Amino acid sequence: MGGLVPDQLRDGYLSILIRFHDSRELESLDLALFSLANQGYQKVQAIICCQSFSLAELAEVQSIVDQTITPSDFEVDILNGDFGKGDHRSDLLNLGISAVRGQFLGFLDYDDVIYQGSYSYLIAQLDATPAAVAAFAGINQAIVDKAGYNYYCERKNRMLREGHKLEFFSGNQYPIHSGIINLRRVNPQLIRFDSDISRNEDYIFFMRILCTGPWCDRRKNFDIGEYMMRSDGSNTVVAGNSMDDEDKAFAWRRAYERFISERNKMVAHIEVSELVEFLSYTKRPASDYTALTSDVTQLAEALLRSKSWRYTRSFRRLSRLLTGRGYIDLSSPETAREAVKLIQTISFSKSWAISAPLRMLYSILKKLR
Amino acid sequence: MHIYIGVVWYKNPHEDREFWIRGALNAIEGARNTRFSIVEVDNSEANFGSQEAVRELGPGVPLLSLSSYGNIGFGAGHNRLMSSAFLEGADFYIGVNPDGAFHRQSLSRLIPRLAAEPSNLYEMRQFPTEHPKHYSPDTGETLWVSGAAFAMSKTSWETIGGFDEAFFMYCEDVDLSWRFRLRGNKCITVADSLYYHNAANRKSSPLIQQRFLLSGLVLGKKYGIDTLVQRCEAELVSMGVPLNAVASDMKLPAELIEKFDPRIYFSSDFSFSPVRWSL
Repeated sequence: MGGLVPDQLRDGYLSILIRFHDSRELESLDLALFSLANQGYQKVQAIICCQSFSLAELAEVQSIVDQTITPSDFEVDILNGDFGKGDHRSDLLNLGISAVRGQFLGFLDYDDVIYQGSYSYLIAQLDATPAAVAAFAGINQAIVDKAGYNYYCERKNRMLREGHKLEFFSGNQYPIHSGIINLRRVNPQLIRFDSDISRNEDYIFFMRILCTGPWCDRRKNFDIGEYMMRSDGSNTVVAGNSMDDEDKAFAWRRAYERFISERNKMVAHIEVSELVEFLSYTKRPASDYTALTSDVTQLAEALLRSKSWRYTRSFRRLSRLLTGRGYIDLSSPETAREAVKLIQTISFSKSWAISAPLRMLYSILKKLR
Repeated sequence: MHIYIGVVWYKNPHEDREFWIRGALNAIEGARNTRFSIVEVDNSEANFGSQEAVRELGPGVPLLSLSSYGNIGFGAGHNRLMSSAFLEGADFYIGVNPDGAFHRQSLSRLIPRLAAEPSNLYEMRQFPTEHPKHYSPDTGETLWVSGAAFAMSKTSWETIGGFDEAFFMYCEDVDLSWRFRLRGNKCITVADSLYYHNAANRKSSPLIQQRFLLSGLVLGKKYGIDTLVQRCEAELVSMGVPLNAVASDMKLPAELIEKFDPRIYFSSDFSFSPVRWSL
């Protein structure tokens, strides 16, 4: 599979890679495309990267594309990678990269949406910042009950807005579709995802690029889109709502270790002014951020130590034994970001194990009444 | 069934209008066995006095352009379109904001709901930045319907009327919704009927704030909501806005006012509903 072809890049065009691996999710893809077609920036090349689709499935994707009203400069390419089953997100993204023809590159998962004005805003930030390799803005997390047209949004939260931009090197604060890259300012060899990993691949990808030059961080200034998180736990991040969460948590931990190993090989070129700003930021006494970090970490640890959590552990162990799977314990968080993830896991959980104490309490109270 | 889609333009670029029309025709194509017309008016001052015109947009879809009276306000603009539509024989009117777009399946999913219970007031779900007000995931019932993408029947128009033109902009949809509910009808969000409408990153301005407060004041006076009146008056005075001549054009019958319970609607200020999130 070829990589980026610099000679074919067109000035002012924006290529958006949409990874699409499950043909049952056509309605979600349709909504992502609907948002993309209406976001306002006209010179767009959308590249839908399908994973091992049959001809019939590809025809369905094509049908969705054909029925979407787009601006005149809006192009859609549908690619199909024969990678077999399983998680091949890096392969799919690399497949898309080989077809990129835009000066700017962004990403949109098939089940996420982009807001109006977002790409115009990000491109304006890049144009206004000489040498900036990428620009990022804020993403909102939408908790929805299911996929498709008829989802019910239970709540929305701002995601990952706190912290200094340089904290990116210690924890990923840029969801994959929260930014765009100016490919004219980046070594083409860096525009590639590691094929052997399926977690944190975007983090490593962005980190290699952000090591090479300045970038614009506008997370606090502008909301560019939504990350749809399903309350049924079917997203690929730890959602806390199914018995597979421990597997997912384990995969994330392995990915984190891989990330640390990759990160320690990198050398970042950071402007001294930004470094000074960062150092003064971290030294601020009792800043909102440090207070938040401390609170969140303590809360997560308290949840882990709580009697109810320990109480459920035996049930979870038993459940894993009965289903023939090993038990993987969730360990104490090491960073604020891990702590947030853990709290979300527990807070949004509808799983039998996690809610067992509450349900038992309810049944006891009911009998006592 | 004959449905009129109405849009009130205001300083929208030509290419945006053409893009909107392409989206509307795409959605119309997806809704079979229904006759559609589109009716528009341009509220831009520059367009004042333009001639009424009719042109064919696609097979069997006429576009009726009303002459402009200038910037008469959102509700008054839609009232003109609704009058025209229902006079021309529309069974239903779908009113939408110009800064949006129909999803291609939006009409095919909305129409069965309209046909099943024509006495209700409906809204298409705004996407991707829907209003956080609550609606029932099961029935779609909600406390008010947004004017960004709404639908009502001719019968409702004849019995309940259109927008109160005392509201220049904002809250006219809340008032219309309350009038529906006070007469025993429902406000319904049709969740799988999507209308693209973006409200993210919107910058407020003193003028927008002033229009909100003036509309809030009209609403408060109309329904006897003292807390809302006091709040709006205080903020308007602090902005130096004169409060004279702020009153509703549509008086409510006493029996309806007696039925109104403001506590239902005021859990979060101008949201007029419990909300699912606040960003």
